[in-house]
Amino acid sequence: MPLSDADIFARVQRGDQELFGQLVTRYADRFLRVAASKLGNRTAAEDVVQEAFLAAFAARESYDPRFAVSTWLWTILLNLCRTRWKQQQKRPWDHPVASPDTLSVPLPQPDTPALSRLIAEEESEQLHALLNELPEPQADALRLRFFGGLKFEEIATATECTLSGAKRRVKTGLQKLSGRLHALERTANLQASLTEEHE
Amino acid sequence: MNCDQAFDAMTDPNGPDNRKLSRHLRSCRRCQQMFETLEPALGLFAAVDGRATETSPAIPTRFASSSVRMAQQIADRLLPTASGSHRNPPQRRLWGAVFAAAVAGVLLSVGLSSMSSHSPLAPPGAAADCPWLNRGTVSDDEPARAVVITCVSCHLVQPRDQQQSQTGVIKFSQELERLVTAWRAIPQQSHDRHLVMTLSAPRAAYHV
Repeated sequence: MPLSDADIFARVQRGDQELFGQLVTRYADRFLRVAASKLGNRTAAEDVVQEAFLAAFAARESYDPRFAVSTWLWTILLNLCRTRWKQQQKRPWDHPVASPDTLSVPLPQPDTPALSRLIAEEESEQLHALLNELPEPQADALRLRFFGGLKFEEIATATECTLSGAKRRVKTGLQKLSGRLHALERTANLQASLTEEHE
Repeated sequence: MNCDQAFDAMTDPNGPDNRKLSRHLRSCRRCQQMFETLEPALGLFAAVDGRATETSPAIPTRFASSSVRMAQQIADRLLPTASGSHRNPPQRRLWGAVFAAAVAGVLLSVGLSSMSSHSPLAPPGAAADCPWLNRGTVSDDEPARAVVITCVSCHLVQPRDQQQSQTGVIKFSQELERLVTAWRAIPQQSHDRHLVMTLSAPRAAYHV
């Protein structure tokens, strides 16, 4: 039976430091997806994820078991992402602009058919762009819910809002995203019909 | 299933329990409308998130062991000197390490660049074996770490207290050496670059 996060962390605190690697493995994938979505740059996301684990490990003695390990880790990650995001906004020349190979989520393997790859790239870029259009609290809530797989209670704690507030942010964010997708679809249809008429 | 649970199910990142959700949606017009409204966005998340799971990156296992090793080295260095405050400990300790490493990075870059330029960067109390003052004798193979430590000795230690004992300087240098070594264990080069950029005004590092 796998150890719980709390059990792992308790043993790490008692000196079984190798176990920390299990926590890293357990969270790194989701951390990376959330960070990459927020920062729009995979390299920067890797840096931030690594910093988050470093911070957690370095501060392991101060972890308080009264709150969940996951909440603590997610909060550290979000704070580091925000800091990095602000740095990117202040000094964009230090941080490369997102390109298809550095965007929010891993793309399919090269052996995937070309058309699927193209669609995947477009959808990934589209989602990244649309999330960036949303107010930050809504975008963060969506990232934590869908890329991080967090429960609403965990989102509320990590983003310092109420449970109902977390749900509202996800709901409003989804409504806005859907609205934008509808608008984009209408625009695309209009362009297609104009092209047909022109031809 | 009530309406609240239905919303949880709709947005469940692991995929909704379709049977229960469908039954609820058939009986609740409000939730049915909500589901239809949110469906485009939910579909996009499902498509992108599904692929992300399929192509789970190898990064976690790549940096898992190194992050533990590196974090342990820095934690060993920082924890004994940390104060007993429990307020915001992760950030404090992290930024302590980050700042120390940034100082080293900035001094390294400044130190190396000053060897090629002729700006008067050496402090008044610079040691006789200062690599900047004696840059003609410093070979290109000089270990960067040694340059950093020498610069820190002059710029950080001596201006504070010109009477600082040699033992104190050596102790400080040894500590910094350990830190620099630990930091270099980080596999990604981007860290160093990022840290150097963290401090936009290199001179601020001189007055810590």
